[in-house]
Amino acid sequence: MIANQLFFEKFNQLKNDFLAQLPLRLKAIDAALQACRKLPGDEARQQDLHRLLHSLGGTAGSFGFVQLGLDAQKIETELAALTQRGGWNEHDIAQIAQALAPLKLEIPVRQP
Amino acid sequence: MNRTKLERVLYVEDDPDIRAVAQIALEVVGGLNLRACSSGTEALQAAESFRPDLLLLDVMMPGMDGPTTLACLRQLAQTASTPVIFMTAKIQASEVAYYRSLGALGVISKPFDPMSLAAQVCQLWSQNMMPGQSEPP
Repeated sequence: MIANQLFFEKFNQLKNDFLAQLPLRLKAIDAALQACRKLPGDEARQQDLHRLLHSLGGTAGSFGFVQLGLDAQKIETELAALTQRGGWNEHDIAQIAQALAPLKLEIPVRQP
Repeated sequence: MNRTKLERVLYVEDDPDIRAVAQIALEVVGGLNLRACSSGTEALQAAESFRPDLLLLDVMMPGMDGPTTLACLRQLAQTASTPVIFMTAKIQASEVAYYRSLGALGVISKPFDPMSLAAQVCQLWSQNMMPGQSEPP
């Protein structure tokens, strides 16, 4: 019981830290997308965006923000499929931007 | 190496948030002795002195991914045959079969439930290392 209490104290602190950083994460995803737009076909930029979404998907889900995690993972899967198909063109990037837009609306409210 | 009771886990995960959640889950809830590393390179440096009973590896990491990290750890005497569990968001049957072909006891899907992570790890350990017994955390 004490272990569980200690766990939840630490977990809630980490969860609040995650929520505090979430707007910055989404900004970083936006910036990575803009970089892809400027340099279509640049694999390093595409990998940056992929990595940021992969991280958001895993982290959000483990903090209990299931929908946010699932949405990030879904976009990540789509990016991987585009990469396997042979790279992203401007049309693909426009579609990715459309898919990313709802993530900004999913920022959960911080717990007191 | 103690082959009956799981105590020492070498955990490799590049994402600091996920690493922190897993660390409290495995240490506080599971009571395990954890060495958390942020990369395969760090794990290789830590492995010999830590002498893990179990390797817990994220699959997708920049630089050395999980399978590459495992291949390098297998070159070290201390971890040449240490049981391994992979953690990944990709848990399609073909991928799980691939990780098992690398010798994994099992695969834990991400995102994981922090409250049940230690139980999942211990269950995979028990199933494979202590057949016929269960070892709740």
